Amino acid sequence: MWKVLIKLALDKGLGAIFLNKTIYRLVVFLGCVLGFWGMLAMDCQAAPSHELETFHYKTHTIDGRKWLRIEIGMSRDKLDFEVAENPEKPYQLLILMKNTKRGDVKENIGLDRKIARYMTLKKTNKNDLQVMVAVDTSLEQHEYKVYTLEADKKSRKPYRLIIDIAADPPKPKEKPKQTDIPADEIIKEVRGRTIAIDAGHGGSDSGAIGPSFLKEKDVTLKIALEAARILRGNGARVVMTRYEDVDVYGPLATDREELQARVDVARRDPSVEIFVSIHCNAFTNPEANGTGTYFHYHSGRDSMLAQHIQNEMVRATGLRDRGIHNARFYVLRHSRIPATLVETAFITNPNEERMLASASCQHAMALAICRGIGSYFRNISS
Amino acid sequence: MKMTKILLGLLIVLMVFAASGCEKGSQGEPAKPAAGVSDNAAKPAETSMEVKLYYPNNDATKLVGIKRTIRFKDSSSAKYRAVIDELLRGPEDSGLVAIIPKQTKLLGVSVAGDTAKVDFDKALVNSFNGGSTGEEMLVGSIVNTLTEFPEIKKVQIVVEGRNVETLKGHIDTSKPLPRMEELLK
Repeated sequence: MWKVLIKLALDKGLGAIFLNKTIYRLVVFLGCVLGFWGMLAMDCQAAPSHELETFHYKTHTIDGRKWLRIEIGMSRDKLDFEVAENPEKPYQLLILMKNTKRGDVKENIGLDRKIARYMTLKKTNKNDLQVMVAVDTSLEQHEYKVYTLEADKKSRKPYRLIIDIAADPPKPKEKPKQTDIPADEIIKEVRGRTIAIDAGHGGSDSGAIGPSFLKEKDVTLKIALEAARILRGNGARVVMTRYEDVDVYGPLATDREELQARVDVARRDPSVEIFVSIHCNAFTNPEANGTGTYFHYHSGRDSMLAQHIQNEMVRATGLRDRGIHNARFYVLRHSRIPATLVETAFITNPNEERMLASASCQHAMALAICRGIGSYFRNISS
Repeated sequence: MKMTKILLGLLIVLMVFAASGCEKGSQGEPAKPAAGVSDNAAKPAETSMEVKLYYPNNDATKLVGIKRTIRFKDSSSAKYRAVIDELLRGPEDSGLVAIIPKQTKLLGVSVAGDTAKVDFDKALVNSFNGGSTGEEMLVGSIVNTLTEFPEIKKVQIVVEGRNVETLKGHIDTSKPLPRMEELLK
């Protein structure tokens, strides 16, 4: 920066204070050299030339189809940008705005929550700005356009970047099927039952992290989705707290808001009978291992549900049986229906981390949880 | 050579500014006295006391109590801080685990009625990996160590002066917690 300042000072004629000509010349020469060097250096650290000034979004209907429009007003025109989809997170639309500063626009912005959930603005390592729009499902389901519009003096609109995202095409209604599931996935007792499945952590909260950097939030989501598939295949209704890598309440929520949001998913639907939260365990010492299940005692049904799942988990995984534990866990304490939290295995133990990463183990754990749920329902209805 | 003089002058002015700035900074943050310890002019005598500290074993199946001697001045409340300071030092036995992240700083311990309030800095949360078992053992080691004092029945863990709903998404720490006897079996 100071190189630029010296150059600026010289340009503005402040150099006149240097009476001695030789020094003046020397300074001018040095200024030029530094300025040139600065320009070279600026190639990798160019000064941002665009700045975000305004932000609006609205939903509107064109030809019976709902669209979300995001408008970002810019300080000047000729914005260079790139559009991509996050290959790892197919619901994330990424727009890289070159040479752009965030300005006064907020870093995290909630959107309409139907077409898109929220948007984040992050500075990348260069002077570019990364815009991420989290749509509600995979981008494959959405038509979208990203383009710029010139400043419009009549309507007093600045040069702006437009992101248009169409709502989902209407989906055919899901019917409970019981025909095309493999024989070992048949769990008759769950038919007609409504079950809440909570994939622990997610979004800004990665949960525990394993020695090979496996993230708890990714494992819990895979097991939860697999459990939901098995339960639905058997004719159960499943309510999920999340279907993707997101915060359930929102990215800037307090811990209470986030955990309460998970409890509320089950509370909103009076037909939900049980709440099952899926987690990976962690400990400071990598030796700790095994599978365990937690409950908070409201009635005997809490421990019963935990014990049925624990039995199936031990049988399916062959892991050390850490038993069931009564604990003051937020999601369990605040649940009004029988609730349990399954600590599938230790993500901090290298062997168990490998298991948690494997699709076949994830399937086996999901199936064990479903079988446990099945035997719980058999028990309470007999 | 006016130039050099001007520059020299500027430099001196800057240095004076910088120096005064430093002084101000250090005056603004006097060393905090230990929580609850009143600064008596007369130096109180040092007392020593045997306490029990709780650490989880390596496979996290239980908390194990070990005996240590703590030294502190003014027996009224300094002992509570001293015992947590001692807990933060970690176990000597290789079969036990220092569960509180070593970056964690203890900001203070105060006691009101039968409840102790332990205040840590953010490292307690930020440097901790979590997990139900990890969280249970961390909370249990603090709660059970403090409830060894017969006058303390409950412990509230706070982070930088604020109540926290949960450390890593499992245990509800919004209210004072009673002794966790189940972790000792």
